[in-house]
Amino acid sequence: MTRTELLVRIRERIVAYGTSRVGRESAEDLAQETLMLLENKYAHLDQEGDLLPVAIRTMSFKMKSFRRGVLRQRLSDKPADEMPLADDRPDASEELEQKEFKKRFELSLQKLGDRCRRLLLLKLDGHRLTAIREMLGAANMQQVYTWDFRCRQDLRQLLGVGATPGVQV
Amino acid sequence: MTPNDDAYRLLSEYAAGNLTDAERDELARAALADPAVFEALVEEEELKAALEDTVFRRRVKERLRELGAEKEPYFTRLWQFIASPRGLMTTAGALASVALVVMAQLGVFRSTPALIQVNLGPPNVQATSSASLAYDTGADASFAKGIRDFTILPDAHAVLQLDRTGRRPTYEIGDRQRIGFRLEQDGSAVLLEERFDGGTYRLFPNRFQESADVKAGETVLVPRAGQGDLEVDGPAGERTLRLLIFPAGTNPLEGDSWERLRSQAKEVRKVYSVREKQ
Repeated sequence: MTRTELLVRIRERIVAYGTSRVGRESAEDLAQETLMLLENKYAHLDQEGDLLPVAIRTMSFKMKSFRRGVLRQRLSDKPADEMPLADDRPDASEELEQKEFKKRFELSLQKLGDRCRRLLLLKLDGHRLTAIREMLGAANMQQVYTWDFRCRQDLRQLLGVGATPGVQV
Repeated sequence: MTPNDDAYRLLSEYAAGNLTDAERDELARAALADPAVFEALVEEEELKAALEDTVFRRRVKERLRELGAEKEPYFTRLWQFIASPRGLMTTAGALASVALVVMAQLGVFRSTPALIQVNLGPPNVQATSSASLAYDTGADASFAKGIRDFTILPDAHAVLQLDRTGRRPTYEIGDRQRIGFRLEQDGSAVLLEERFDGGTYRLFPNRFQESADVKAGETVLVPRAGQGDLEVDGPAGERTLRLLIFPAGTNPLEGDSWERLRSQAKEVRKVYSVREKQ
């Protein structure tokens, strides 16, 4: 896949993702802004595994800004070429949000089950799930994936990740 | 396994940053092809971003260790113990013990005959008292004393029942009563009643049932069928029926020394209560 093809696919995904959350028009604007940033600041990245995470983070950052009302106007009120390029460095409110997220993360650890805590620690220590299977004495890999899926689900629920309702403008 | 199964498996290790470059590319391609994988990746990306902060990552690991995440979870340690040879033996032993207790409770090992049905006699026949049923002899008193002073091994090969059900039936003074027992093997039996005031009455053999011999499986009713029931007399209080079982051919009330009798005897007990008439 060429870089151009890759950007087209990324745009499609962002628009689809954003439409259900901020509306079609704003989602297209968000996709446009994200792509502009990818073009201007991350032109050196051309692998899917490198480019997509940056695109997702940029999109999430812009979506949060959008929700916080940093953008006072509807994005579509401005022509795309007049919009300033967003600075990808976090602003004060973004920093505060990240700080709170990390605080919630730490607090969530207490509420996780014993197995989930051990699983998370082993992963953070760099162990792959195949090795973790033996360490936890799981019968097979499917069992480890099931445990891990439930643990990540628990953690996301405790953190409120993915639970933000869509905002229509 | 479908491509998306693979993608979700890669997602498991994405946030911790444990994927190889090739796996990250594979996951990204799956996310670009499938909106559901893309959404899942967006959620994981937030966690990944936080965990890429090395200071925060170290703090999370420290916190997890403080919370005991390094130790094997209880269930894992338990499972590992159960799966070990020693654990297997212990578990098998424990399960066998539980099974034995349950089976014993269900009566699987009981060799006694089935519970006997004891009914009162016809009401038009006058009831008789324990005292008039039994002989009152000096030898009997000495026998009763001998019984009271020693512990006799319990016996499961006989059953002793009242005309009322329950572990500890209650009678009122003046109520009618009938007792029944059955031995699994031929033997000699003596039925005594001990009262809380220290009195002991022999109810079998008695004035009307003179022989202590009992055939295996025969239901002995006291008083026997056709005779009047017993009338429960005072005083109120708890009473214990003791069915003493001796080997066939033994005459427990004559001849032998108490020591010899006691060494051969086994017994079944049944407790009931007597209260004043309401």
